[in-house]
Amino acid sequence: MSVRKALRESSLSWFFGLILVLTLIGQAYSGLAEYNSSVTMNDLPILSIGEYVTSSQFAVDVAENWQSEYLQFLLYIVLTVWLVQRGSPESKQVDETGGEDDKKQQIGRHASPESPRWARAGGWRTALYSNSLGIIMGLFFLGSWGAQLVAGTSAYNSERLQNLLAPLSMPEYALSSNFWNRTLQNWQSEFLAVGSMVVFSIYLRQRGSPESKPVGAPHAETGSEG
Amino acid sequence: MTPSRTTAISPEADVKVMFVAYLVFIVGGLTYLFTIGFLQR
Repeated sequence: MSVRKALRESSLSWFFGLILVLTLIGQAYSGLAEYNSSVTMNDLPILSIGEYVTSSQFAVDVAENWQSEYLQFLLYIVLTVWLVQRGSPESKQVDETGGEDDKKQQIGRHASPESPRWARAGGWRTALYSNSLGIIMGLFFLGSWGAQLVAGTSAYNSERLQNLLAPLSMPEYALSSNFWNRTLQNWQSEFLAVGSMVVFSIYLRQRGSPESKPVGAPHAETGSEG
Repeated sequence: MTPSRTTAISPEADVKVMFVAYLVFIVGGLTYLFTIGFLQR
Protein backbone atom coordinates (compact mmCIF):
# COMPACT_ATOMS: atom_id res chain seq x y z
CA MET A 1 0.00 0.00 0.00
CA SER A 2 1.40 3.40 -0.91
CA VAL A 3 2.11 6.01 1.74
CA ARG A 4 -0.44 8.32 0.14
CA LYS A 5 -3.15 5.65 0.35
CA ALA A 6 -2.24 4.85 3.95
CA LEU A 7 -2.45 8.55 4.85
CA ARG A 8 -5.80 8.93 3.10
CA GLU A 9 -7.33 5.89 4.79
CA SER A 10 -6.36 7.18 8.23
CA SER A 11 -6.63 10.89 7.47
CA LEU A 12 -8.90 11.56 10.45
CA SER A 13 -6.47 10.01 12.96
CA TRP A 14 -3.45 11.66 11.33
CA PHE A 15 -5.15 15.07 11.30
CA PHE A 16 -6.13 14.95 14.97
CA GLY A 17 -2.72 13.54 15.95
CA LEU A 18 -1.01 16.39 14.13
CA ILE A 19 -3.15 19.20 15.54
CA LEU A 20 -2.83 17.61 18.99
CA VAL A 21 0.96 17.93 18.84
CA LEU A 22 0.81 21.46 17.41
CA THR A 23 -1.68 22.72 19.99
CA LEU A 24 0.26 21.08 22.82
CA ILE A 25 3.38 22.94 21.67
CA GLY A 26 1.29 26.12 21.44
CA GLN A 27 -0.05 25.54 24.95
CA ALA A 28 3.51 25.03 26.27
CA TYR A 29 4.79 28.32 24.82
CA SER A 30 1.72 30.41 25.64
CA GLY A 31 1.57 28.90 29.14
CA LEU A 32 5.26 29.69 29.62
CA ALA A 33 4.72 33.31 28.53
CA GLU A 34 1.81 33.70 30.93
CA TYR A 35 3.70 32.06 33.81
CA ASN A 36 6.81 34.17 33.25
CA SER A 37 4.79 37.37 33.06
CA SER A 38 3.14 36.58 36.39
CA VAL A 39 6.41 35.71 38.17
CA THR A 40 8.13 38.80 36.78
CA MET A 41 5.50 40.94 38.48
CA ASN A 42 6.36 39.21 41.78
CA ASP A 43 10.15 39.43 41.24
CA LEU A 44 10.52 35.63 41.04
CA PRO A 45 12.84 33.78 38.61
CA ILE A 46 11.44 33.05 35.13
CA LEU A 47 11.44 29.52 33.62
CA SER A 48 12.88 28.14 30.37
CA ILE A 49 10.59 26.12 28.08
CA GLY A 50 12.24 22.90 29.31
CA GLU A 51 11.63 23.83 32.93
CA TYR A 52 8.04 24.86 32.19
CA VAL A 53 7.01 21.64 30.39
CA THR A 54 8.38 19.66 33.33
CA SER A 55 6.55 21.83 35.86
CA SER A 56 3.43 20.81 37.75
CA GLN A 57 1.73 23.99 36.47
CA PHE A 58 1.97 22.70 32.88
CA ALA A 59 1.02 19.15 33.96
CA VAL A 60 -2.15 20.22 35.78
CA ASP A 61 -3.26 22.39 32.84
CA VAL A 62 -2.87 19.45 30.46
CA ALA A 63 -4.44 16.88 32.80
CA GLU A 64 -7.54 18.91 33.67
CA ASN A 65 -8.46 19.15 30.02
CA TRP A 66 -7.69 15.51 29.25
CA GLN A 67 -9.88 14.23 32.09
CA SER A 68 -12.91 16.22 30.99
CA GLU A 69 -12.62 15.01 27.40
CA TYR A 70 -12.41 11.39 28.46
CA LEU A 71 -15.30 11.86 30.88
CA GLN A 72 -17.33 13.29 28.02
CA PHE A 73 -16.69 10.29 25.81
CA LEU A 74 -17.14 7.82 28.66
CA LEU A 75 -20.56 9.25 29.47
CA TYR A 76 -21.55 9.53 25.84
CA ILE A 77 -20.55 5.96 25.03
CA VAL A 78 -22.15 4.42 28.10
CA LEU A 79 -25.25 6.59 28.55
CA THR A 80 -26.32 6.23 24.92
CA VAL A 81 -26.85 2.53 25.66
CA TRP A 82 -29.87 3.51 27.78
CA LEU A 83 -30.69 7.15 27.11
CA VAL A 84 -32.12 8.25 23.77
CA GLN A 85 -33.12 11.40 21.92
CA ARG A 86 -35.82 11.09 19.31
CA GLY A 87 -34.67 12.62 16.03
CA SER A 88 -30.95 12.65 16.82
CA PRO A 89 -28.45 10.75 14.67
CA GLU A 90 -26.35 10.40 17.84
CA SER A 91 -29.08 8.28 19.45
CA LYS A 92 -30.23 4.74 18.87
CA GLN A 93 -33.89 4.04 18.18
CA VAL A 94 -36.04 5.02 21.16
CA ASP A 95 -37.38 1.48 21.64
CA GLU A 96 -33.94 -0.19 21.46
CA THR A 97 -32.47 0.88 24.78
CA GLY A 98 -30.19 -1.50 26.64
CA GLY A 99 -27.37 -3.85 25.68
CA GLU A 100 -29.37 -5.53 22.86
CA ASP A 101 -29.46 -9.25 22.11
CA ASP A 102 -26.49 -11.41 21.07
CA LYS A 103 -27.74 -11.74 17.50
CA LYS A 104 -27.82 -8.01 16.89
CA GLN A 105 -24.45 -7.60 18.61
CA GLN A 106 -22.95 -10.50 16.55
CA ILE A 107 -21.43 -12.21 19.55
CA GLY A 108 -21.03 -15.85 20.64
CA ARG A 109 -22.67 -18.20 18.13
CA HIS A 110 -23.96 -15.22 16.16
CA ALA A 111 -20.42 -14.02 15.42
CA SER A 112 -19.10 -14.28 11.88
CA PRO A 113 -15.66 -15.64 10.92
CA GLU A 114 -14.55 -12.02 10.47
CA SER A 115 -15.71 -11.02 13.96
CA PRO A 116 -13.03 -10.15 16.53
CA ARG A 117 -11.80 -13.30 18.30
CA TRP A 118 -13.09 -12.22 21.72
CA ALA A 119 -16.55 -11.54 20.28
CA ARG A 120 -16.69 -15.23 19.34
CA ALA A 121 -15.03 -16.58 22.50
CA GLY A 122 -17.99 -16.21 24.91
CA GLY A 123 -17.71 -15.99 28.71
CA TRP A 124 -15.64 -13.31 30.43
CA ARG A 125 -13.66 -12.49 27.31
CA THR A 126 -16.75 -11.52 25.32
CA ALA A 127 -18.20 -9.70 28.34
CA LEU A 128 -14.96 -7.72 28.73
CA TYR A 129 -14.60 -7.02 25.02
CA SER A 130 -18.28 -5.97 24.87
CA ASN A 131 -17.47 -3.09 27.23
CA SER A 132 -13.87 -2.40 26.23
CA LEU A 133 -14.46 1.03 24.68
CA GLY A 134 -16.23 2.34 27.78
CA ILE A 135 -13.64 0.71 30.06
CA ILE A 136 -10.66 2.30 28.30
CA MET A 137 -12.32 5.73 28.31
CA GLY A 138 -13.11 5.26 32.00
CA LEU A 139 -9.52 4.30 32.78
CA PHE A 140 -8.16 7.29 30.87
CA PHE A 141 -10.64 9.56 32.64
CA LEU A 142 -9.65 8.31 36.10
CA GLY A 143 -5.96 8.35 35.13
CA SER A 144 -6.02 11.94 33.90
CA TRP A 145 -8.22 13.11 36.79
CA GLY A 146 -5.71 11.47 39.15
CA ALA A 147 -2.85 13.21 37.32
CA GLN A 148 -4.74 16.50 37.69
CA LEU A 149 -4.99 15.87 41.44
CA VAL A 150 -1.31 14.99 41.87
CA ALA A 151 0.07 17.77 39.66
CA GLY A 152 -2.57 20.22 40.91
CA THR A 153 -1.56 19.64 44.54
CA SER A 154 2.03 20.44 43.67
CA ALA A 155 1.19 23.48 41.52
CA TYR A 156 -1.22 24.89 44.09
CA ASN A 157 1.24 24.38 46.93
CA SER A 158 3.96 26.21 45.03
CA GLU A 159 1.58 29.19 44.77
CA ARG A 160 0.74 28.92 48.47
CA LEU A 161 4.40 28.79 49.46
CA GLN A 162 5.08 31.92 47.40
CA ASN A 163 2.39 33.61 49.48
CA LEU A 164 3.86 32.20 52.72
CA LEU A 165 0.88 29.88 53.27
CA ALA A 166 1.19 26.28 54.54
CA PRO A 167 1.00 23.60 51.79
CA LEU A 168 -2.05 21.31 51.54
CA SER A 169 -1.97 17.51 51.66
CA MET A 170 -3.37 15.72 48.61
CA PRO A 171 -6.70 14.85 50.33
CA GLU A 172 -7.00 18.48 51.44
CA TYR A 173 -6.35 19.64 47.88
CA ALA A 174 -8.96 17.15 46.59
CA LEU A 175 -11.55 19.05 48.64
CA SER A 176 -10.24 22.49 47.74
CA SER A 177 -12.03 25.09 45.64
CA ASN A 178 -9.03 25.20 43.25
CA PHE A 179 -9.37 21.50 42.39
CA TRP A 180 -13.13 21.66 41.93
CA ASN A 181 -13.05 24.94 40.03
CA ARG A 182 -10.55 23.44 37.56
CA THR A 183 -12.66 20.28 37.32
CA LEU A 184 -16.14 21.74 36.99
CA GLN A 185 -15.23 24.52 34.56
CA ASN A 186 -14.10 21.79 32.15
CA TRP A 187 -17.03 19.47 32.80
CA GLN A 188 -19.70 22.09 32.19
CA SER A 189 -18.28 22.97 28.77
CA GLU A 190 -18.16 19.31 27.72
CA PHE A 191 -21.73 18.69 28.83
CA LEU A 192 -22.94 21.79 26.97
CA ALA A 193 -21.14 20.71 23.79
CA VAL A 194 -22.49 17.16 23.92
CA GLY A 195 -26.03 18.27 24.73
CA SER A 196 -25.91 20.80 21.88
CA MET A 197 -24.69 18.14 19.46
CA VAL A 198 -27.52 15.80 20.43
CA VAL A 199 -30.21 18.45 20.13
CA PHE A 200 -28.97 20.51 17.16
CA SER A 201 -28.43 17.40 15.04
CA ILE A 202 -32.18 16.76 15.16
CA TYR A 203 -32.98 19.78 12.97
CA LEU A 204 -29.64 20.79 11.42
CA ARG A 205 -27.53 18.89 8.86
CA GLN A 206 -23.95 18.63 7.64
CA ARG A 207 -23.94 17.08 4.21
CA GLY A 208 -21.65 14.06 4.00
CA SER A 209 -20.85 13.87 7.70
CA PRO A 210 -21.48 10.57 9.52
CA GLU A 211 -22.27 12.71 12.58
CA SER A 212 -25.31 14.14 10.76
CA LYS A 213 -28.44 12.69 9.26
CA PRO A 214 -28.70 12.84 5.46
CA VAL A 215 -29.79 16.36 4.45
CA GLY A 216 -33.21 15.16 3.32
CA ALA A 217 -33.87 12.88 6.29
CA PRO A 218 -37.00 13.79 8.28
CA HIS A 219 -36.47 15.57 11.61
CA ALA A 220 -38.16 12.69 13.43
CA GLU A 221 -35.72 10.12 12.02
CA THR A 222 -33.52 8.79 14.80
CA GLY A 223 -30.10 7.16 14.65
CA SER A 224 -29.38 7.50 10.92
CA GLU A 225 -26.05 8.63 9.52
CA GLY A 226 -25.48 10.86 6.49
CA MET B 1 -3.89 -7.16 -10.86
CA THR B 2 -3.94 -9.99 -8.37
CA PRO B 3 -3.75 -8.59 -4.84
CA SER B 4 -0.47 -9.56 -3.22
CA ARG B 5 -0.26 -10.77 0.37
CA THR B 6 1.23 -7.41 1.33
CA THR B 7 -1.60 -5.33 -0.13
CA ALA B 8 -4.14 -7.53 1.63
CA ILE B 9 -2.52 -7.10 5.04
CA SER B 10 -1.12 -3.57 4.99
CA PRO B 11 -4.31 -1.51 5.46
CA GLU B 12 -5.13 -3.51 8.58
CA ALA B 13 -1.56 -3.14 9.84
CA ASP B 14 -1.63 0.60 9.19
CA VAL B 15 -4.79 1.03 11.26
CA LYS B 16 -3.27 -1.08 14.05
CA VAL B 17 -0.20 1.16 14.09
CA MET B 18 -2.49 4.17 14.55
CA PHE B 19 -4.35 2.43 17.40
CA VAL B 20 -1.08 1.57 19.16
CA ALA B 21 0.35 5.06 18.56
CA TYR B 22 -2.62 6.75 20.24
CA LEU B 23 -2.55 4.25 23.10
CA VAL B 24 1.17 4.77 23.67
CA PHE B 25 0.75 8.56 23.51
CA ILE B 26 -2.02 8.60 26.12
CA VAL B 27 -0.45 6.07 28.50
CA GLY B 28 2.97 7.72 28.08
CA GLY B 29 1.42 11.15 28.55
CA LEU B 30 -0.38 10.14 31.74
CA THR B 31 2.80 8.54 33.12
CA TYR B 32 4.67 11.77 32.35
CA LEU B 33 2.02 13.95 34.05
CA PHE B 34 1.98 11.73 37.16
CA THR B 35 5.77 11.71 37.30
CA ILE B 36 5.97 15.50 37.15
CA GLY B 37 3.30 15.83 39.83
CA PHE B 38 4.97 13.36 42.21
CA LEU B 39 8.54 14.59 41.65
CA GLN B 40 7.63 18.19 42.36
CA ARG B 41 5.75 17.53 45.56
